[in-house]
Amino acid sequence: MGKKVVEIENLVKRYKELIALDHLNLTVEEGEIFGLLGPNGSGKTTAINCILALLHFDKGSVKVFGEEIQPDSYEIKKQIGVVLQNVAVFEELTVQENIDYFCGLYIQDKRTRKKYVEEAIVFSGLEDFRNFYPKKLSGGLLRRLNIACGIAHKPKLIIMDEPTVAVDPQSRNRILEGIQKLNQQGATIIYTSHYMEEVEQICSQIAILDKGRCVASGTKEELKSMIKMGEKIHLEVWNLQPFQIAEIKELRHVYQVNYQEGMLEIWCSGGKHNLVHILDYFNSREIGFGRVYSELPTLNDVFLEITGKELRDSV
Amino acid sequence: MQVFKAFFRILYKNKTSLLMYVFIYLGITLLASSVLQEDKKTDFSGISLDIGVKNKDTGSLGKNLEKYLESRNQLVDVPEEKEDLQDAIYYQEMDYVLLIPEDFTEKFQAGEWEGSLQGTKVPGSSSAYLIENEIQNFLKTVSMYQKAGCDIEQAVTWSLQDLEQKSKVEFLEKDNSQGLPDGFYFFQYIPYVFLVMMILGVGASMKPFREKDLAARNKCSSTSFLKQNMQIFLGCMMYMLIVYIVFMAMACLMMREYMFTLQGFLNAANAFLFGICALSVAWFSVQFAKNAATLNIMSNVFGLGFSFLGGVFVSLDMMEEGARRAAKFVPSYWYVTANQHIQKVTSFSECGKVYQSFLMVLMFALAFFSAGLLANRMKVKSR
Repeated sequence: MGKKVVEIENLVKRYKELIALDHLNLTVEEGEIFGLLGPNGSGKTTAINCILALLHFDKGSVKVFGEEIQPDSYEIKKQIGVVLQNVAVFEELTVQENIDYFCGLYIQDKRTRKKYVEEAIVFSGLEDFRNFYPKKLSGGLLRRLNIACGIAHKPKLIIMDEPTVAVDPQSRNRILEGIQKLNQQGATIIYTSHYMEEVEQICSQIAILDKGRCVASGTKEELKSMIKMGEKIHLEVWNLQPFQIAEIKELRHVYQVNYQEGMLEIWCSGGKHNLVHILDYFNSREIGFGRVYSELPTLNDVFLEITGKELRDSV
Repeated sequence: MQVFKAFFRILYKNKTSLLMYVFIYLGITLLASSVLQEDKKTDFSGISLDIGVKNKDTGSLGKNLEKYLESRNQLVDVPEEKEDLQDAIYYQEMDYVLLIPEDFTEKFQAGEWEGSLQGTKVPGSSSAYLIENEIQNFLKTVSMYQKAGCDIEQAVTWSLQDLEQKSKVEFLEKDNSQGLPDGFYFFQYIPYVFLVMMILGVGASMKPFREKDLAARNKCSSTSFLKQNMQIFLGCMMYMLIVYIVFMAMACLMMREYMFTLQGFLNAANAFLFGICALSVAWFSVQFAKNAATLNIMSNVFGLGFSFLGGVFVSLDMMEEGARRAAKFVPSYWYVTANQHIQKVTSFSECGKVYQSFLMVLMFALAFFSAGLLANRMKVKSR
C-alpha cells in the first residue's frame, strides 16, 4: 500500500438546502492517477475545492500529505499543482509571462524558475507561442497554457479539474499523454472529468460520484466486475420471431435482450464464450445475420447499473 | 514579488491611454493658463472707433460735432465713391460713416434736425450703435443748452465741457481666480486627471486579480493571501507616486520659480493628498467594475462629476449657494478650497484653513477606502 497523499473522511458540504457532498470518503495514494468521475453537479469540483481549502466544509476532514489542509497551509500548497476547470490566466500577460507568474508564486529562486518555466513551455508544446497573448490562442492551446501554469513548479500532487473541456481531439490526446508523462515522473494526479473514456484511458484508480456521494471506487477492472454485465453483443438480424427472442433469453449467461429495427442487443453476465454460444444458436436455427460485434462494459455501464441513469445523459 | 511585477506589467499594457491623459492635461493646462492670463483685464477703458465724417455743413455745429467725435474716436478718410465706401464698411476698415448735410446748423437751430444726419453702417453693428449714441448725446446736450437760452456757440462750448467728464468705473464683484499665478491653473485641474488616471490605471491592473477564477487560482498558491494583497497595495501606492512625481516634474519644468515658493510647496502637498484620495476612489470603483467599459464609465462619472461639482472646472465663486453646499460632499471641493487659500497665505502660520482642507481630503480618502473594503467583503461573502 502506497503513502496516502489525500484522505477525505465523511466530508459534508452544504449550499443552503443543497447537499453538494454527502459524507464523502476518498483516499488517494502516492503515484496514482486518481479519476473522479461523475456527471455535472455530482460534487467533483466541490470536492476539489475542499482539497484545495478554497471552500469551508460543514463536516469531516481533508488531509493532504498527512496534514489537515487549511487556507494558510502554505507548506502543503507548495507541493500542489492546480489546473482549475475554467482557464485562469492573465489576458494581459504573454504565455511565458503567465507561466513565470504562476511558477513564481511557488519558486522564489530566479534561475530555478527560469529553468522550470522553460521546461513547462516545452512540456506543453507552447514553444512557438511563448510571446502570444492568451486571446490569440486556440481553445486547445489555452488549455495547455492553463496546465503549464499549474505544473511549472513541479508539484508532487497535481489536481486537474476537467482540463479537457471544449478541447479538440488532437489537443486532448496531447493533454492526456502529458498527464501520463507527469505521473511517470513521480507526480500523483487527481483528475476529474465527465468523459469516461478519458478516465478509463489514464486513471489507475477511479471513484464514481453521484449526488455528492462516492457510489463506487477501485480500478476500472474492479469497477466493471462490480456489475452484472460482462459483455454486450450486437447482431444485425432480420425478421426475428418473438419465440426466438425468448429462446435467446434462455441461453447461458444471457440476462437481457432487446430487439429493435433489425438490431439485436444481448446482455451477458461475466462468462466465457458468450459470442460462440449465441452464434451457435443462430446457425442451428439457420437464422441469417449480418454484422456482429461485442462490447465489454464501460464505466457508463457501471454508472448506469449503480445509479439507474446514463452518465452521458446526466451531463 | 510576482504579484507586484504582474501588476506593473498589466499597467504597462495600458500605458497608451494613461499617457494620453497626461498630454491632454498638459494641453488643457497650458491653454487655460494662457487664455485666462489674457482675460485678467480687470480695469474699464472706453473704446475708440474708426469713423469717417463727410461734413458739408456751412455752419459751426457740423464742425463742432466732427471735433467732438474726433476727440473720442479715430477719424479716417472717407472714400469718394459709394462702392468704395461700402467696401470699407464691409471689410470693417471703418465702423461708421457720418454725412452732415449743408444746412445742418440751420435746421438744428430751427429744431428740425432729427433725421437730417445720414449714417452708413453695418446693420446691427454694436459699434455703430455706440457712435450713434455719442452723436445723440452731443446734439441733445447742445439742444438742451439752447433751449435754456444759450446761443449756439455757448451751447456747444458748454456741451463739450460737460461731455468731457468721465465716469469712474469700478467692479463690484471680481472673480477671485483672476490675477493668479500660472501655478494656480496647473494645480486647479489636478483632481480630474488624478481621478481618471487612478481609476483607469489601478482599475485595469487590479481587475484581473479580482476575477473569480484568477483569485481562486492565486489562493491555491503557496504565496500567502496577505502577501499578495500587500504587493497589490504596494503596486497601487507606487503607481500613485509615479503619477505624482511625473506631474510635479512637469510643474517644476513649467514653473520652476513658483514651485520653490511657499505656495508651490503647499500646492504640491495638496496634490499629494488628493493623489491618495484619488487612489481610494479608484479602489472603491474597482469593487463595482465588471469590465474595462464599466471602468471607463466610472472614471468619467467620478472624474467629471467630482470636477464639475467640486469647482475644478467651474469656479466656486460662480456657483449658486445650494450647489456650493452640495459640493462640500466631494473631495475635489476641499482640494479646490485649499488651492484658493494657498494663494492667499504668506507664511505657514496662516495655513489654518489650508490644513483644514487637507484634513477633509484625507477624511474622504479614508471614507472611500472603508467603503471599498466593505464592498469587497460583501462581494467575497456572496461568492
